[in-house]
Amino acid sequence: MLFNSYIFILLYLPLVLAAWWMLARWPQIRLGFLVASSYVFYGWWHWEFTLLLLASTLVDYYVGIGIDRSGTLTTKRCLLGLSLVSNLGILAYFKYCGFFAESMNGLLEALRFGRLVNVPEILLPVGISFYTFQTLTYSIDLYRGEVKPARSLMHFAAYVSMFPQLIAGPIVRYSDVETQMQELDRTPDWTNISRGIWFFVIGMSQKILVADTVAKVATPLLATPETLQFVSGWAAILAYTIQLYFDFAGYSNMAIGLGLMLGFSFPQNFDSPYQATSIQNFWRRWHMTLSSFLRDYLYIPLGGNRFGKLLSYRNLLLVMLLGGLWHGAGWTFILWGLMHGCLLVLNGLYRDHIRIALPKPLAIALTFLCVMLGWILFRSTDLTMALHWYRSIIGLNGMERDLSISTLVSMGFGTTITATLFCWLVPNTWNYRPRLSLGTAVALSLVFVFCVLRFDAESPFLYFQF
Amino acid sequence: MPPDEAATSPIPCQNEISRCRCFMHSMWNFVTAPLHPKSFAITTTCFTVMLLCCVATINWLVNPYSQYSSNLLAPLVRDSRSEKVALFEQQQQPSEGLILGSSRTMKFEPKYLQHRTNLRFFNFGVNHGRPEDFLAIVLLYKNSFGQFPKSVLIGVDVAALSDAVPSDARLNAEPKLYSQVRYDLPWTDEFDRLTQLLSYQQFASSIKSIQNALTSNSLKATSKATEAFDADGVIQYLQRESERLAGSYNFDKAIQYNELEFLTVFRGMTSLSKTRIKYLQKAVAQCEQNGCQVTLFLTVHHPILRETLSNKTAFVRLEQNAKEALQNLADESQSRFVDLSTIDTFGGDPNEFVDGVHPLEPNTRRMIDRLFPQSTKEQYAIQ
Repeated sequence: MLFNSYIFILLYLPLVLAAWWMLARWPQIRLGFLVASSYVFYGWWHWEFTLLLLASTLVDYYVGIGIDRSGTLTTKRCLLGLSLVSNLGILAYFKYCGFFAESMNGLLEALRFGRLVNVPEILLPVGISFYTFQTLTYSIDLYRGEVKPARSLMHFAAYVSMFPQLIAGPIVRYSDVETQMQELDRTPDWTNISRGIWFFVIGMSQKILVADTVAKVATPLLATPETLQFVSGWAAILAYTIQLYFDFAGYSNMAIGLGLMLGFSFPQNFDSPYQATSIQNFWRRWHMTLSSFLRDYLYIPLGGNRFGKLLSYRNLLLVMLLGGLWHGAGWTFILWGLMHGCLLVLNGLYRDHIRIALPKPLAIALTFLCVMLGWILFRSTDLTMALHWYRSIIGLNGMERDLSISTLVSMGFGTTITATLFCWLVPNTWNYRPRLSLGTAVALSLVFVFCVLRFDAESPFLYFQF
Repeated sequence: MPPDEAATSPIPCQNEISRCRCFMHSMWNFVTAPLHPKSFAITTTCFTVMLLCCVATINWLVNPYSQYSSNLLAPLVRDSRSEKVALFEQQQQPSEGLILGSSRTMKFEPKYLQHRTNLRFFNFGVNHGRPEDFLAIVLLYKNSFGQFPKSVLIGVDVAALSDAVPSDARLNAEPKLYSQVRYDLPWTDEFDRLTQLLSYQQFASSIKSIQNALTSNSLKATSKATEAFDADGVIQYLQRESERLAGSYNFDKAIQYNELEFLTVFRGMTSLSKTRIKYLQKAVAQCEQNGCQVTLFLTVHHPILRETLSNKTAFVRLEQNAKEALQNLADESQSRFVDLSTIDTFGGDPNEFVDGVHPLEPNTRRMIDRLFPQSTKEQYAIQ
């Protein structure tokens, strides 16, 4: 089910919210209801995949109990290994099997053996990368002794499947919601509910009014990447940069808003990333829950920056490469991750050796440019498309003949530049406290209704594919 | 004056300007006065529900696409289903055959078919005709005349087998057709029809319809018809014909419009809908169990549109899947399947198209020739 669908807004959400708050006196029933409604939300697309979600939940819940109760480190390690193998195994099968088979065939073909490996056609369950990471963090945190085991299977199932964040994050750790999961008999906190409405409407407008509008510029241009020339190449990259941000940040804000309406606080996921003054700063602002996951569960265990500069750079490269692979099974994603790893290393070298602070606008512009160049790899379906696109933006595919204002407007420059300025100048949703007044209520209602009217051009969120 | 200052300074509300200012200031204060979070949440929710209800009511009353039972204003788009049902019921003698399909089959002439088959046909092609429509129409025929027709010709579009779109809301809005398949359609289709009351496109059309009505003398102004149906159900492209005679008809623009439309359709379509194949099987089975000969064919795309769709979407794979599904259906039943998906299959003329998907008479006649070679006439005559 999509947040931007009639069935969700007109039927699912009102029913779930009403039932959730009506069941405040019965915490156990309330919890069961949350799990059941989240499974309905997830199973709406393909009910079969709820079994996978259930399997992942069961394995990690019982592994968690085992880790908590076992007295020896070896048993704990074995159980953690079981959790890692099951979660990463699910991910490997559904997400990477086809990619590895295809890559193997490519290699065998290059060696003139032909395509010997059968490439399986496996449907990728939506949100699998997000919930497997969440269940993983639970097992690892238990192993580290950072959290206590979930009070019951239902508590854990609710944590894993909670519909606001199930499909595309934010990646919520058990420690983030542990206390909230214990206090289920709470009555409505109207301040949080009002804030939730604010976040939800802002998120929806980011998705529908900005991302989908800019997508109308990017999508047709990228449908035929071989025809991209200098200006159209830049128009496409700028439009996609804006589309991706508003699409994903919009989803995150909607998820956070829904969480608040249910009485849960989720962590912030975006902090105006296009205002970042360096690549390192960018990764502290973009998909923050993934960045912190990679830092805490990959970079630091690899040694972080404790064993000298060289090893810390190696760790950065490795982490970003795996981060790229997490986003998608394809060489373009691997290269995108590697590119960001290299940029982070360069960032570190510059910081350590040159130590000249760039003027802030220049630093922002330079970071923005690097990020944009990276999105080319991220968006390209294959390396050929990426190459065409890179060639176009450096002028190797020629220049458009007609460069009148109307041509530039038809390429969507007006819309995308306005949206870019918006990214740079407008404060983040988290930093803005709206005045709760009749005027704000009416304005939010109008924006929301306008967004609902635009549901007729239903479009899924970009991050669903991951 | 800033609102804070306005709130504190005594403004003499004596003359008209001052009174106006006073009113504006008090309004501003009222609108910006802080609300308790509970009041804020309730106000936002109530106002949203009220706005949504307003939009839905306007769309229902104006009914710009003839989807609902109301008919306060003239619809912007004429509904082929209700028009065809009316024409079907006006027939002096029941037709012996039916032509089913989407708007692409609307130029199939019953007279020419009679010449080939000796059977009187009625063209029941409807806009966006899909298998659920075909099932509804054959059941309507049976319930109207107590028997099935002798022959049914079904033109299937690849897009009509899409797994990504619900049944056409206009089917649900035509009571005589909808009642035939009411229990076959999923409840989500009915929900989808209702949610279209909240679509931007429909709301914009409602506003346009109201504007049209306000600028004309009567509220129920009749819009200028761009198309019309003959008594046997064949379409006449009135606007296109007048533009063609005036030399202003832009074929390239029509193709471009199709490209935009069908790129969206085929990008959203991942596979053939199993449900729609079942409707088609059911329609064919109902016909054949009652002695009705069914002929299935895949409708044609203009070569230019075909090339665009082949290059940019999974059209080729989906079309191949559709061919296989129709051939399987024909093999499993007594029906025939004829592939007319390209102009080469029936010796068609690329210049005899309205746009990228609608063939004109010279092409539909060639298709009929291909569907019913001379020998078929004798075969039908014997039956």
